[in-house]
Amino acid sequence: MPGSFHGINMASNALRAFQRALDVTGHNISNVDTPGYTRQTVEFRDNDPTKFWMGGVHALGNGVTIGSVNRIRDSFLEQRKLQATGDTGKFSQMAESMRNIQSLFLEPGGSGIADSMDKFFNAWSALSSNPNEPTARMQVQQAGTTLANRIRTTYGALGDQLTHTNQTITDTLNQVQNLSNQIAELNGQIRQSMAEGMTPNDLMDLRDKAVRDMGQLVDVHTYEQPDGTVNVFMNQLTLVDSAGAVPTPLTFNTTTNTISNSTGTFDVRSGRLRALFESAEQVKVYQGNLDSLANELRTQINGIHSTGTNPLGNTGVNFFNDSLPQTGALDFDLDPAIIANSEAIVSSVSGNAGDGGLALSMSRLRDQSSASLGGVTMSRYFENMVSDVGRKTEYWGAQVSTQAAMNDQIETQIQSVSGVSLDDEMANMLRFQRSYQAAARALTIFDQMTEDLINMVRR
Amino acid sequence: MRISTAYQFETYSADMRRAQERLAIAGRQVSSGKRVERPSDDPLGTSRILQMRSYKSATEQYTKNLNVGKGTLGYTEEALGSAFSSISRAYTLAVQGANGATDQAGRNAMATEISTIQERLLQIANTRGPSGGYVFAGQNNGSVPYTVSGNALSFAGDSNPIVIEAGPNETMQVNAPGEPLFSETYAKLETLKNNLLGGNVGALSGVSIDEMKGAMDSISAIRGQVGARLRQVDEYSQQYTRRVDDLTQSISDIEEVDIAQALTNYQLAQTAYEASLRVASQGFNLSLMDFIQG
Repeated sequence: MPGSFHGINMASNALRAFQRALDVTGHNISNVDTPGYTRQTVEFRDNDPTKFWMGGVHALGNGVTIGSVNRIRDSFLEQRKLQATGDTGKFSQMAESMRNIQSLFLEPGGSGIADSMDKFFNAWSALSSNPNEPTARMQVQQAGTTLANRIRTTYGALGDQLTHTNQTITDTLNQVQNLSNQIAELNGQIRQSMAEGMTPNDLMDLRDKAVRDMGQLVDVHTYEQPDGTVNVFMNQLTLVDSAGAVPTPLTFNTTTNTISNSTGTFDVRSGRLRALFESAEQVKVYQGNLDSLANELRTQINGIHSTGTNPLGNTGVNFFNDSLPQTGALDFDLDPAIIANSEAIVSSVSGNAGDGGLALSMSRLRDQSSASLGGVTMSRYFENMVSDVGRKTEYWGAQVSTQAAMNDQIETQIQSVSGVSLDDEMANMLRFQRSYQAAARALTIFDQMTEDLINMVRR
Repeated sequence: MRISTAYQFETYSADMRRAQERLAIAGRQVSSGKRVERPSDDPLGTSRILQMRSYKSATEQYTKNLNVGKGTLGYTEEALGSAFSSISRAYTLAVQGANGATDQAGRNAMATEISTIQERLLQIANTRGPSGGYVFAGQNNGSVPYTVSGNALSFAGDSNPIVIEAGPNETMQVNAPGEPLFSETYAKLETLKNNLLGGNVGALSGVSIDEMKGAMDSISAIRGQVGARLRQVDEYSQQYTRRVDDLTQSISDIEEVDIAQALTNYQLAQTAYEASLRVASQGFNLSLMDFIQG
């Protein structure tokens, strides 16, 4: 048989429950702008009824209590998002790297290597057509210096880019380590809370955000454990398991797209890290192209130049510095003799003042295909290279846009499920407020009844 | 569908950002006038721009070479013109010397004038071009080609052609050979002078007049060649000017925006941006809070 204060108890339970519900609503509203926050809802549950005898067995409701406070999320969508995050990380890093590489070439602005190569051959053409003119040799010297400078500085800038990329790779690996530690620590706290029978929603949000952050960096897969924790893997590499965070391998190989330590070698397939690996390789390819171009210029120009006699009467003079093996674009420059004196520049075999025969041969190199450059002219080779940079920059830029559209779609779905809507929360607030008011009113009624009873007895 | 508040704001912001970005790009195209500023704007177009620029640059150089050639040919033509007038004076003197009415004193005076003409011819033979090279010395044109040794000219140049690069795989000779023209003419003048001094009326009328005539013909023939090359240079130059104009046009077609089109795009982008601002500002203002009585 329920006691006299049954109603008061029930009403005060209800007041508590609605107050908590208002608290949760307040929590949701407070976190409306928190990234990674998952809205929470209160699940009300009616208390087990009290059975009593009154001409039969009846069950009398015991009011309300809070069953649980839930995170509203769709784990399938979250997994999709994690995957998409890896691609986003990769594409946006590739696009950024390619934009950086592209900006090093100063094309087609007319102040890059293409332009200086044209001017270089023009200078030879001018010398061939006017070998008597002393300034024509200076022009060749000047144009040669500019060409060598531009090839060298572009190569150097690519080198800086490579150094920067390698540094960023190390930073990224450290970041993976930090996130692993963070996830492991949150896992620990979650496990403890769960063991104590609580649902640590906010800790889970924090952890899931850390996992997503990591998903930007490497291709992450997660497995949820019954104790509320998640294990995190990058392909065969365990990053976080029940024992905690695993040390991230810090040795990397951009050619094989792997990271390694004493425990093994692991593929990196997506995320920002993969993009950094690929862009490092891409930089090396372009450096290699510039090496080929510089060496071809050395071979072709010197091959002709060294057969001539210069106005100083010297023969066998190189125009570009050269050695065996050839040193590529790194130290590409004019031969010291040419730097010292433009009169060391050769225009002919005979050395006669009016003979521009060899200068003509050098000017004509502009239209000559080179087997070592894949059967195209030197200018064409460079144009193809610039075009390749442009195509790749355009491609990754477009990939970023496509991926952004895809992310939008997933995010829309996730937000539709998990995001806080102020209008919803306002409506809930009203609902819980009204409910609270009603419960308070009920309490007053029960109180009055009790008071009436007491008064009655007193008389 | 349920729309969360953060997402609603994010969507408006993203839409505004995109619209703003499009407006910025459209505006930049209008203000810079460039369609291709970076290779990624049009990779294929970039390649074509670089190719055509390279071609244009070479063509401009060929035009400069042609101007150099024109200079050399011009000096040569002028020198040959002077040589022709000198020799035609010598011809006149030979005709007068051959005339029986002329006395020996007159012939002696004529012989002195022939000496002057010989000196003049030497000067002409050693004409220097615009860049200082001796135009009749062949490729060995860095030092004086003609000197008088005894009563004859001696030649220190060579017979190789001076050429300019006039196009891809194309050269043009821009000098005229000095030899054997100048040495022979000088020798003929020497003969004429001696005939005048010796009063050899028969040789004057029988040999020297014809020789002077022959020398004039030789000079004319070479002048004709030089004139023909000058005309050729002009033709090439004109052709190249047209080609450079065409290339400039083609490059600009790829590289630069059609300004009318760009302005239209800009207007469209502006309208879209304004629309997104309007929608967002209204959307931002809508909230259940405004309708709940405090």
